[in-house]
Amino acid sequence: MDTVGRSIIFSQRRQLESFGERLKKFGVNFAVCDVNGQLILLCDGGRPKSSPEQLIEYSRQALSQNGDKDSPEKADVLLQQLGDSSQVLATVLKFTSGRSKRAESVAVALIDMGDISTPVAHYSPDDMAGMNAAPANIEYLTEMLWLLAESFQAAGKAEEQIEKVGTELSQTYEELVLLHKLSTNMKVTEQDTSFLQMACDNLTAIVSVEGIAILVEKLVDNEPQLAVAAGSGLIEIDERMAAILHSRLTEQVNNGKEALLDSEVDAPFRYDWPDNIKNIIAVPLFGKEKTESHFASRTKNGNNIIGLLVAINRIDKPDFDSTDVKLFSSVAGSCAVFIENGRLFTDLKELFIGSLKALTSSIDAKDQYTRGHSERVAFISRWIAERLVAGEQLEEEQIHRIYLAGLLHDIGKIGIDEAVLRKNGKLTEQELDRVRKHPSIGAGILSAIKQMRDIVPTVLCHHERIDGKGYPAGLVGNQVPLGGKIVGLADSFDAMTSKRTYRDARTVEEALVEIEKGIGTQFDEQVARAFLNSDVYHLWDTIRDGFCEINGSSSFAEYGTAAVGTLIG
Amino acid sequence: MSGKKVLVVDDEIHIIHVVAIKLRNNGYEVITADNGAEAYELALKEKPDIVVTDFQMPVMTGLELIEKLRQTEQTKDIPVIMLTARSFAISKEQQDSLQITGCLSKPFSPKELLGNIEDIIYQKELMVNK
Repeated sequence: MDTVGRSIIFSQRRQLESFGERLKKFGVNFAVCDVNGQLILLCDGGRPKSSPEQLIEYSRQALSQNGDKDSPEKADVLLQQLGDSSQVLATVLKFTSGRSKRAESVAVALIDMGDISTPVAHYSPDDMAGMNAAPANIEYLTEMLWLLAESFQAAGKAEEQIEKVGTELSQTYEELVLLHKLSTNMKVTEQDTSFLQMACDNLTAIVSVEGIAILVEKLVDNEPQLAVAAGSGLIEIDERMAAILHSRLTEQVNNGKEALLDSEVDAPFRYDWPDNIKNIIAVPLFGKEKTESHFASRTKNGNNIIGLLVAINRIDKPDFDSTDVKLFSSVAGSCAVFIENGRLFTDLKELFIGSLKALTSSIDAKDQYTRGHSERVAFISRWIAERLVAGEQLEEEQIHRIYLAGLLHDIGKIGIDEAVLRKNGKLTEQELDRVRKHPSIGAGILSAIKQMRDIVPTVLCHHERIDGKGYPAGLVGNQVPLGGKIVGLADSFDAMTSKRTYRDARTVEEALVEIEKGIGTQFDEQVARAFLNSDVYHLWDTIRDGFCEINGSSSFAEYGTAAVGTLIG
Repeated sequence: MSGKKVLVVDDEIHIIHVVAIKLRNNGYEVITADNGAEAYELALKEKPDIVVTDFQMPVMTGLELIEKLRQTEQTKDIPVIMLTARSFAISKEQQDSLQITGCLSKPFSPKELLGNIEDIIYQKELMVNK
């Protein structure tokens, strides 16, 4: 028995039970037997009755005689005579599927009138008292059974309707849950495509399609192109296909349509597609209005198409329809917002780091010998921070901060007279005093900016020494924050290896010797060791080469952008 | 995982239908009730393998139903999943003490519910086969 038949039996069970109860009044027995030969109901009316096995046999006979009647709508009641005295009425309870229009047998209802020669026990003192299975009463019982079969059919139809509604509702629930999931998972992150992949996977799960893909614009060899960013199922989009999709979708959008919809059902197709495509839907991802866009394809109403969501070959239906367009558009909308947010965040970081570098470069440029110094110190500080071991392994965020502190460590020089910074000879005590103010000036400038507060201590302390002879505060040993120790060392190394007004540049070997000598006095042992044990020559070459990729670390520009994410993320 | 019996209890008829259809289409036998008292009687009679119930219902709430099930010898070990619009009203302690296997808030994904049920049946089969 299939699921709908089973469910009908279950929902009708109470009706069948109460029918049987009422029949007891007539002293007859009522039974229901399913198509598998199981007796699922037996109401005893008090008469000597047929055995369960006999009832099952009767129902089998009824099924074979009546089970596949051509006129599914009409119910039929059979009278079976057994021996001289036993009579059983049987009717097949059927379910007519709206889809197949065929009547399926679900069960057999039987009224067992038992041995008609024995008197009937009666239960109520009404007109029916004393009734026995005379022919006229057989007619009556036959009518009742017929009515039962009819109402059973009607119940089946209603049940099928409910099932259809329930299935639609179920689908709607899935869509709701998907949209909710997309909204709650949208975080402003880097351009990672896991959000887009999640959208694809979830969409494929609730809409039966062969394949779904999300394409996003990107620059490939400085040419704008739509490339697949995420996908699910069986779908292949190469460059050519992407370009075709893009232009056809743009055409549709310019004609005021929400989506590109095409299917074999609208034969011939509006467009010409590869053979494996039977129907296709594509919706645009709109980006923010920009005055300049990667793509020349601004649509008529000024919207920028930054990508598209495409699906092919609907499995459970012959083609896509407007409900699909709405769902896909919603999903595409979420994806577009996600992408744009990510880009804005990246733009913001690039703007920020760009400004910082412009600022530090201009400060470095005040003195021709310090050009590029801040960027080098940032790089060296990061180098040291990455190589600290023995209990001091640093989190990536901390390394980012040390890097940025290295970049900004001399920002306080903006408050120092240029004449002093550029002076050729030795500085007077007064002038030295003024120069020594630059860490505190720098710290002061940075502490006014909320996002910079984490790097203030490093900037303030980059001229401290662990023997307490540093400035501005003369901190001793571990009073000096780790960042200060690192940037201080990086600063010194770069200073040693650069030409100055009063001396030539030292070689790397000489610088390393100096640093070794300074352990315990100027430099912290652990920090210095980490530096000395590293491949300093490699570091040196990299710096002189202009900071190319080393050891998988990203290039200078990218690292800077990632690092500021720590401050403003 | 077919041939398993699920009792679905909710006073909202459309929820019953959504769940019943999903489960039946995946080979489960579904029996239903629209209140806790009826559900309890059905549970005793039909011995379902899993009960899926709403929380907020007239006559007997879902929690009361589960309490009763847990107090009755024949039904105390039946796994229960709660489907409810008021999932915030049930604390973690209550969930644990009443041995509620899972709690899904409405609107729920019928697929997810099916997945949870299949997991439970699978776990049960593992235990039985040990």
